[in-house]
Amino acid sequence: MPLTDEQIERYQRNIILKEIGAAGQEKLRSSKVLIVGVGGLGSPAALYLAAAGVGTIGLVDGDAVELSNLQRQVIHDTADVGRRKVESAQARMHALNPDVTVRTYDTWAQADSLGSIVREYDFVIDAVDNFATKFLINDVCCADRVPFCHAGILEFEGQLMTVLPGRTACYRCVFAAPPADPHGPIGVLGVLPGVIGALQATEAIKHLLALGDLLTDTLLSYHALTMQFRRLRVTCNPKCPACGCSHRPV
Amino acid sequence: METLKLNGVERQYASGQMPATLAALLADLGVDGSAVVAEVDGAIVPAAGFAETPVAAGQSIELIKFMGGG
Repeated sequence: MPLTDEQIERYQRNIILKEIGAAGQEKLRSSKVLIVGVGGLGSPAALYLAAAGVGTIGLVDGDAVELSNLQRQVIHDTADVGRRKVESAQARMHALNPDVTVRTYDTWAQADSLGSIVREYDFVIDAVDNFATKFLINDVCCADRVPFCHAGILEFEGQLMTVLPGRTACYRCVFAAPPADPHGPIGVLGVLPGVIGALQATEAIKHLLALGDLLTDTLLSYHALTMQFRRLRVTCNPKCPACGCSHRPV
Repeated sequence: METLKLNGVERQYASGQMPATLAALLADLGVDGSAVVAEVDGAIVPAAGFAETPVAAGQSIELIKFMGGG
């Protein structure tokens, strides 16, 4: 179905990019992205993907909004404190762009259920706040061959990498197993997940539209205090139990 | 002088003063070995291998932090 006049106006600045055009916008409209975690990273990712016109966006989070979230989780408002995060985010995304279908999964990502959710999507954004779930997302996406973008933040630093399972190094190729999670909340500069989550949204759009160079086999790190970005080449671990990238075609 | 490249920055040691292993290097830097993995000349070394992995002049070593926040 061609874009409506309203959609052409809404997405004008996308469409006039020759790399996107109306065909690219239609592709975004037919695309599905899953965001696991609707917190610091998930907030900007969800807002920018909704604004960009990604047609279906799934949100997985089993938490409720807390006052202490609002320093960085910009998709939620003060009036949302106590509300389910997926509902709060869905309402904000609909207000921003009613074109977008937002599917909500008011649950924690679990090994026995995440696979059936992930398989319905073209791309996944890892925006969770604990190591166990980051490894779970990696393993499930690798098993189901669903591309995803990992990210993590800590104090003033962030990192991200995009994984095309079976073709490029995965999170477990770099970090073989989860360390212990920290006791208690970690400090984080509130604007930091805004930077990293927006980069994850950028990777999602690039993948959906086959634009540019993805952060594959590359870990991008960012330090807010020095304003340095570093790209670190990472390679497939032939013994990685998750991704099987040692079998990728030459 | 002997030189290592550590997280992209050259680090110099007097002859014979370079830490012998990754574990010794991390101790020298005051880095918690359970919070990082290392990449030595492009090859990932998990924490379990730090004590056995030798450090030598001319190597490029990246210490990659685990970042679990979201």
